[in-house]
This record gives sequence, structure tokens and C-alpha cells, in this order.
Amino acid sequence: MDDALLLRPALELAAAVRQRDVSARELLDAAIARVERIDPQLNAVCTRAFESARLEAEAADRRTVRGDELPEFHGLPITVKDAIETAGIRSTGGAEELAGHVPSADAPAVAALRAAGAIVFAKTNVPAWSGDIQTFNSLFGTTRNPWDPERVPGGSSGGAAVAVACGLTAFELGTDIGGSVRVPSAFCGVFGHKPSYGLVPTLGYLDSAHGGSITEADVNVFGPIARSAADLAALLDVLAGPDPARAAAWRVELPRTPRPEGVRGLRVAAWLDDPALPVDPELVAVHAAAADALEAAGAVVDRTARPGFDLDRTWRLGSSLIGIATSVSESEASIARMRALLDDPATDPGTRFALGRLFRPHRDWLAADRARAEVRAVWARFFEDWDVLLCPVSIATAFPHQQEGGFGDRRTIVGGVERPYLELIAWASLIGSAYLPATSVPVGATAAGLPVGVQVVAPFLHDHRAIEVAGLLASLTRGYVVPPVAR
Amino acid sequence: METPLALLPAVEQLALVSRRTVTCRELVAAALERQQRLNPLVRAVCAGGADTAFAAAERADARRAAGDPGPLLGLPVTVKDSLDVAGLAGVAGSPALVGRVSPEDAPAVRAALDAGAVVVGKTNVPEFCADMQTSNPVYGLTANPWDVERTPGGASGGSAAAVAAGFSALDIAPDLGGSNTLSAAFCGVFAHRPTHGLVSTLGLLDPLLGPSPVESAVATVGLLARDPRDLRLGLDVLLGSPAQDPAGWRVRLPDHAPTSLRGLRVAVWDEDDVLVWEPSARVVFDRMVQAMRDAGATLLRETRPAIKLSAWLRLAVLHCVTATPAVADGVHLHEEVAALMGIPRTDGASALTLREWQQLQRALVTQRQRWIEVFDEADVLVCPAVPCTAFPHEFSGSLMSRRYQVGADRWDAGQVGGWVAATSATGLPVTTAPIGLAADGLPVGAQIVAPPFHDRLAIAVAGLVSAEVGGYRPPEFRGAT
Repeated sequence: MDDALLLRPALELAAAVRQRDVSARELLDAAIARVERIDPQLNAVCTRAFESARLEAEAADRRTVRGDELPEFHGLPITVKDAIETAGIRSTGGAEELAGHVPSADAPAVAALRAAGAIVFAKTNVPAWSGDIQTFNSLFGTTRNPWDPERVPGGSSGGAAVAVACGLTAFELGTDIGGSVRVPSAFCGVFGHKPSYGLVPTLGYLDSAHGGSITEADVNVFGPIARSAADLAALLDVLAGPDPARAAAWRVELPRTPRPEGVRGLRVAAWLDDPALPVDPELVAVHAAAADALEAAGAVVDRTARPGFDLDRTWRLGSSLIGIATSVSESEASIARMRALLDDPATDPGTRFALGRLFRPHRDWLAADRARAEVRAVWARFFEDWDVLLCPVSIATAFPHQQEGGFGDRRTIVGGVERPYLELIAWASLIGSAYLPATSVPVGATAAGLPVGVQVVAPFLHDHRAIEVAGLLASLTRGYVVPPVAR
Repeated sequence: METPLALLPAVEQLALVSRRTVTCRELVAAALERQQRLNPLVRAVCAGGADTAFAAAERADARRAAGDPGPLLGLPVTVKDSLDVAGLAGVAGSPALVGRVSPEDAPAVRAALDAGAVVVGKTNVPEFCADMQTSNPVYGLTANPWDVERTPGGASGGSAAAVAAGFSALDIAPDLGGSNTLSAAFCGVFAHRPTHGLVSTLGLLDPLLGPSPVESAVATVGLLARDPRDLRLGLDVLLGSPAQDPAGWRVRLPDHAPTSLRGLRVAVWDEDDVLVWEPSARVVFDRMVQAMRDAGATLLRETRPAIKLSAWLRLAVLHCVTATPAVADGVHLHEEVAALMGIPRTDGASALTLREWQQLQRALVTQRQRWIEVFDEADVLVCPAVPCTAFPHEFSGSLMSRRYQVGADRWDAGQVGGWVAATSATGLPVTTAPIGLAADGLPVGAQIVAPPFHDRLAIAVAGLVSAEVGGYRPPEFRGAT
């Protein structure tokens, strides 16, 4: 087979397997060959499970031959972000504490993908505990952007986005608490969907030395990354549903808003830049062109519509909620160290503030949760007037690797201006902390050739609307383009 | 002697309406008449209004005439004062909220109103709903209709007393740490605490912060009634306000409810080192267990959660107090709990940090699994509700330091409320059933705990048990003058 087939959307690959144009084993071998050929330059794949996958692929082919009823993604080889537990395959969360962790069970979301026919043959790299928007760790090293290896692929689902962009996998399962699906999707030029909070079970998430999570972290979601919006929609249907403990009573029926007329009449709010969170002007221009394309195709685009809250305060509220939710990742030893730092009068105020989140009382979260409820109510009213919101995924495109320092003290240069590193995920945090569904869609490139993505945000649980509009946008703009390294 | 209309189970009152034997207005009038006559003896209903109730009853009659099949059409209900009913006072026993009129219905209340229920009153609570008795500076003391010198329990004392006394057919009541169970046991009525997360808790009134705009990680909204069939009907209605966003989430409960005790596997957990019985109450519980065996149930005496109850109870208390911003400060973290949470902190005095709270969640999930494993062997778990009967009102000292007169002994809050706190923190469905009167003539209750979402199973078993030992009986208003 022509291994360029692996650059096609997953639904096309699935059709090829179903029609017996290609076998699962052939597809897997081609994917493995691509990993061997392309990945050494990028380091997206951190753990290989080729042998077990070959057996699974052969079993899948026997089912095809028998004429069994075949699931939607039957026989497709996939990689899974290493922050998610996969049965029998080392799952580290990018952290030394879990360097030898081989889960006995799949995370429920992985189990759903396997039930839908996918075959997990590798894991993809993440920063430790998924705590960065670059992708490097002490276990597996640095993952590189396929459009420029000197730049980051984004994170924390960086390996995942690279694997999708380069056709190493049919699709990916990532996680997103502060943009971890959306940012790397944008930086690598692929499609990523951050589902409405609670829609996809997130048990089996590796964010602490305890191993797979048994409680759902606030804001965190699992979401698909793919080469087409249609893939995202089909994957969301596979992934959405209650966790096993709640399946006895709960089920989900996502609203669908079919738009047979396509873009015509679609009410689009375009919030592409803001003084409180300025975006690289080059990105703003690409985003604006995307909004113009929607308008030219018949959408009603308003470039001044805003939800009406204080953006600076609101994204910082979101950032604070995310900081709280990720505080479980610290070990007891590092907690003790940080407590000592906090108690040391010589510690600078910035560090003190960054550490404070670990020691704030739970009561503060209850207050922040109520404040979030108000923000969610504002969004709900906003979406009475607008079908979707277009807004930046990040203030920048893929930036050069920057491995010194930490999230709290790094700076980044955006459009020639130095900015706090945290602002790179401010737009993503704003949307995620409000539990809204958002699809990151590739709509263009910078002059230097780096992909540019935009977020399509929809009302809570209207995930399919976000994905559908992302598909329309992609068809009107650049969409997914194969990086030269993967051709 | 014929049972007065207002004391009939909700399902029978509704049957009379649908057969057109009585009108909605007559049902509501019967409840209000009892309130007017008997509420001064117990002060269970703290607010409400005949005017609004009659007007609502007339609207219900109009709906019925128009063929509306609302499942609660015309049913007189009361609502615990920690949940808002639009247009009625919503004070939650707090002097800070005197004069407050609720601007809108809590979603759970809305579901009942949509089904045709008529609110005939708000029921009294202790301030902050943080007591196992019911008294507050705004509305005063609520008494037990079995003996007005005794407590109806709390924080749902008003709810339980109102249902026992026939002031309403059904009470809708939030329950954080077993308030409904405890109060129902003391007043001799049925109660159901739904599986956590099934029924929306939005609008739960915090005296300092107002109605909650977020779902509670701890509380549920449950029901009190005189007949287990009423609990099932009421639960079906409350499921119309699911705690997950109705835009995408649907709930449907498993519907396997036994029609006989024969062959039912019942884990009986009737005693523990840390929770002892008052002997005359124990006699009533033992009689119920014997009756279940006589009816063919298979009793499993050794099957119980593989937990250390003392540690679980401390987790449970911590879980409850962290639910409410108003009381989340100053939490004492016992070393037994710290060990379950896997943290080295035992200093205890300061509030839980965010990170510790997440470790608490993890410990809860792990320990809850031990409870759920009981159902590998048993269909339901039966345990005491409160291992004593209602004690005389006692308001000396603080909730935690206070001692209550139980028989010849002085009990602390943990001894009284241990069993209800233990089951509440599981998140499992719990039905409370009155199982008879102790030697002092006061009701004793039992809890029936079922697997997650098997709420109908717990309610059905409560019905089968009460058929053996007698369910609700009207209270005597002992001591009332």
C-alpha cells in the first residue's frame, strides 16, 4: 500500500479497511514504518507496543474476513497521549514517578476507542504531568514541531498533535485542562476538539504519582485530535457518555443543529484580539481572513460582539481554577519544599504567589466555583445571540524551545513584546474553565510557514456545532496541510 | 375509624383526585385545616400562605379539568426552608435573611410544581441547617409530633414533623449529611435520599451566599412521605430536574424492584464498636430483622463494608463541612483521616487546602468502593437510622460539645447521628422506613441502602419491610396542651 494513505482522515482509512482495500495489518505496518522513518526527527512517540498491536490487527482482519459487523474505526492504528492509561502499555504521564507504570486497565475513554475498533500501537510524549505547553521531559526528551524542529509542537498533547500531523496515527486522544488539545493542534496545523466538561470520562488520567485518576479533575477533559472535522464529530460520538460507574442511569444525547444551508445565516461573533490579551498581529490577520471567508460565504459576522465580562479578571479566574485542579500533581516532598520556600521571608513575591495556590484553603475554590457560575451564565446569554464564537487559541504560534525556568517565571516574545508565559494559554483557559466546547481548527499560516489555528466555541454541550463550523471554516481556508517532513 | 384525608398517602390522595372524588382544592384545604389546628403545637411549618396555596389548588383543578395528566396534580407538599419557592419566604432559619422572599424556584421545586404539586408551606430548619435538632432565632423551636417535649431531629425536623402530622403529603428537602434520615426516624415517617447527583441541588440556600448557582458535591435533594409509594412517585418527578445539564444528559433509573422479601439477600449491619444501641430501640430493630427472615429474606450477618467505621465517619464529617463555603473553615483533620487521604498532615486546626480536599475526594472514592462491594453479595444493606428514639430538646453548649439524654445515658452528636452520617457520605440511595415504636412509645427507623442508582430497589424494600412491621402511624401529640 501507499503509506500516504495514512495522511488521509480517519474515516477514509476506516472505509478503506471496511471495503478491504487495505487490511488492518497493512495499515499498522505502514504506520509503524512511518514512525520508524519520520519520528526520529521529531520524537513524538515515547513508547512502542508494536507486537501486541500486530496481534490485535491480525485478529481484526480475521473479523473482517469472517464478515462480522465492524465497528466505526475497525482496524485503525492509533497512538494515545501518554497522560492516559492504556492496559498493558507503559503509561508515564511524562513523569519519573511513573516511569515503570504499566496499567492493568484502559482508561474508560481508551476502552471506548478500542471498542470502536481502534488498535493502540504507541504512546505519545507529554511534559511531566501534562504541565506545560511545550513537550519535553526527563524520560523521553524533547518533541519537535514538524513545521520547524527548532520550535515547540505545543503541549501538553504535543506528541499527539505531531503524530496526527505527520500521519503516524489515524487519530489521537489528548487531554486539555488549559489548552492541551487546542494549543498543539493549532501549533501543528491539525483539528482538535475540547469537549464540554464532563462529556467524556477522564478517569485514568495521569496527573499525579498516585497513577490513574479515580476522580474527575475540574476543567480537565479528554478530546480527539484528527485531520478532519468529520473525524472529530465521529470520535466525539464514540467518546461521549457517562463513566462506567454512572452508566447504569445516565446517558448522553448531544444536541445536533444540522445546517443544511451550510454557512448561510450562521451568527458568528469574532473576538480576535483584545487590549487585555493582545494577540500577535500576524495571527490576528489570519484569523480575520477566516472570519471574512465565513462572511463571504453568507455568515453574519460581528467583530465587536463580546460576552460583556472583564476579560482580564475572567481569564485569571479560569487560570486560578486550573491551577487549583493541577495542584494534585506535586509530590509530598515537593510540597514540603515549597512550604519551606513560602515560609522563607527571602522568597520573592512572584514565587510566593505561584506557590500560594498549593496552600490556599478549599473554601477559596468554592468561592471561585461560584464566580465561575456567574461567568457561565454570561456565556449562556451571549450564545442566545450568537451560534458560535471565533477566538484565538493562543496569542502566538509555535515558539522556539524554551526549557529553562517554569510556567510561573518564563517570559515569551509575542509580536516583539515580552509577555508572561502564562498568557500563552489565557484564551484557552478562558474557554475551558467555563466548561465550553471548543474546536481548534487550522485556518492558515504565518509568513514563516507556521500553522495558525482558531477556536470555534459553542454553547455548553453544543459540541457538534463547534465541530461543524470548524469543518466549514477549514473548507473555506487552508485546513490541514501535510508538513514537508511527513511527505 | 376512617383515616382523615390529610393523613392519606400521597398516592391515595392523588387517586381520589383522579377519580374526581375530591378536588385539588379540597385536598389542599384538608392539609391547611390540619396545619391551622395542629401546627401551633409543633411549629413545623414556618412560612407559607393559605392564599397562595388555594390559588395554586384552583389552578391545579383547572389543569385537571383541561385534561392535564400532571403526576402530582393538586398534591399538598411542603418544602424545607433551605430550598427556594418563588414568592414565599426563604430564610433558612437565618436572622440575616428575615424578610427575604425567594425570587425563583429551585429546579427541584420547579419540577414538582410543573407536575402539579401545590406548596402549602415551608418547613423549619436550624440555623445553617447545622444541627440535629430544629430551632432558630427566626421561627423558634420545632417539636416532635409524637411528644412535643422532644426533638423532631434536624436539620429536616420541620419536614419530618410536617409530614408526620399530616400538614402535607410530601416534603421536598435537601439533605447534606443525613438530615432527612435522622428526622424521618425520629418522627416515624419514610424518607429517601437519592443517589448523589441524580436530582439538582441548584438553589440550595446558603444564609451567607444566597441560593447556590452550582451543584453540590455532597448534598442531595430528597423526599419525606408517609408511604414508600409516595417516595417512588416523588422521585420520578424530581428526576425531571437532573443534576446534569438537560441539554445533553438523560437519566433513567434501573427498574428492578422486588415484590417479595423471599430470597432477597439482605446484609444486616446492626452494631459497631463505635455505634451502640439504646436497648429498647434495638428491640424494635431486632423485631424487624426477624420479620424479614420470617418473610423469606436471606440475612447476611457478616456482610458489611470493609472499612473502619470510626475513620469513615471522620471522612464523612469532613466531606460535609467542606461542602459549604459558610462552614468550610476551621476543619479539624484527624490523623485517621489524614492517613486515609495519604497525607502526612496532622496539625488539624487550619482549614483544608485545595490539594488536601482533592486527596479527600480520592479517599472517599476508594472507601465508597468498599461499600459498593457489599452488593456483590447482598441486594441491599440494612442498618439502623438512629440507634435511639427522639430525645428531649437540648440546646446547652455547642452542637459538638452538647450531650443528649438517651435513656439513662448522655449521648454526643456522633452517637446519635453516626449511622446517618455513615450512609450519607456514600452517595448511595438510602430509604428510611419507620419500623415500630420502642417501649417509650416513640418511633424507630431503619435505613435501607442500595447500589448506586438502584433507588427504586431501596424504596421497594422499604415498602416490603413496612408491610411486615407496620409503616407510618399518626403521632399522638403527647405533652401538647
